[in-house]
Amino acid sequence: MKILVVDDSKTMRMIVKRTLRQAGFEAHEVVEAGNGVEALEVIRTAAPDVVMSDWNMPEMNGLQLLQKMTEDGLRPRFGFVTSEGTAEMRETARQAGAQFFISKPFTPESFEAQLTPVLAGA
Amino acid sequence: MLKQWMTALLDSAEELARTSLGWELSRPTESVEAIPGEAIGGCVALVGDTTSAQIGLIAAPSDCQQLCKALMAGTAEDPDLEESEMVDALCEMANIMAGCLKGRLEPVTEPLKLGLPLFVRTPLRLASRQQLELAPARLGPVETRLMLIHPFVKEAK
Repeated sequence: MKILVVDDSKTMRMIVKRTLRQAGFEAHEVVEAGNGVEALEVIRTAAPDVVMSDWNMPEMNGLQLLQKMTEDGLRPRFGFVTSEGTAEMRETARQAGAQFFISKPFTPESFEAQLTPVLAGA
Repeated sequence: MLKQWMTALLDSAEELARTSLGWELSRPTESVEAIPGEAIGGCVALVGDTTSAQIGLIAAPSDCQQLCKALMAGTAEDPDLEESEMVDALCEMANIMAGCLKGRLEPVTEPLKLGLPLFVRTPLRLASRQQLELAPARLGPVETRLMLIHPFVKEAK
């Protein structure tokens, strides 16, 4: 299975990849993008099964990315990994089609709890 | 208002320390300099309809190296990070703290939006309407100053 990690921070992409390994998802291939625009290109060319995206990013944010994916009929499973963790934003994400929502700071346990059902269904 | 923000800022730094750095936060009991000589760090704006403030964290560059290595699960003995890596990591620490702070404040304040994080270096230059509050905080072995730049009127003591 292929997971796309989208975050404008290279440090955070590295931390997300490390946490994926710590949560037991080391067998999955991980690809990266630095913002929504880059992510769309990677989704079209590399066809990831799951997208884990930050919310606040320059050029195209995570919500805009999800909306563009929906418009364009791109269907990988999608969720947010973000410091924006309020109930209102979770609801906005859910209504836009996000299937999981992981708040920063996160732990391997939160990754495991959120991603296991998503990866099982992908 | 100011007290609520500073309390939430300390709580957010404690969560950053514990969850992302694997450290505890402590408050120095001895007197410390307001800003330690040359300092660098990261900050993030939190903006509502009637509120605009910036929060962040600054420390001496050598201490920031240690903070950033901890964020990346490294140790103090690892080779120093390049400046671009340190800028990115400091901004991400400020971003994590800002998200925690927003979650703590929004039950009692208006909705807040987070800006994109910025790298900062002392001396900080403030606009005339802004005030700077600094709170010394020791994250693991590292001396830092938590920072709130705000337009709030200070409450009478």
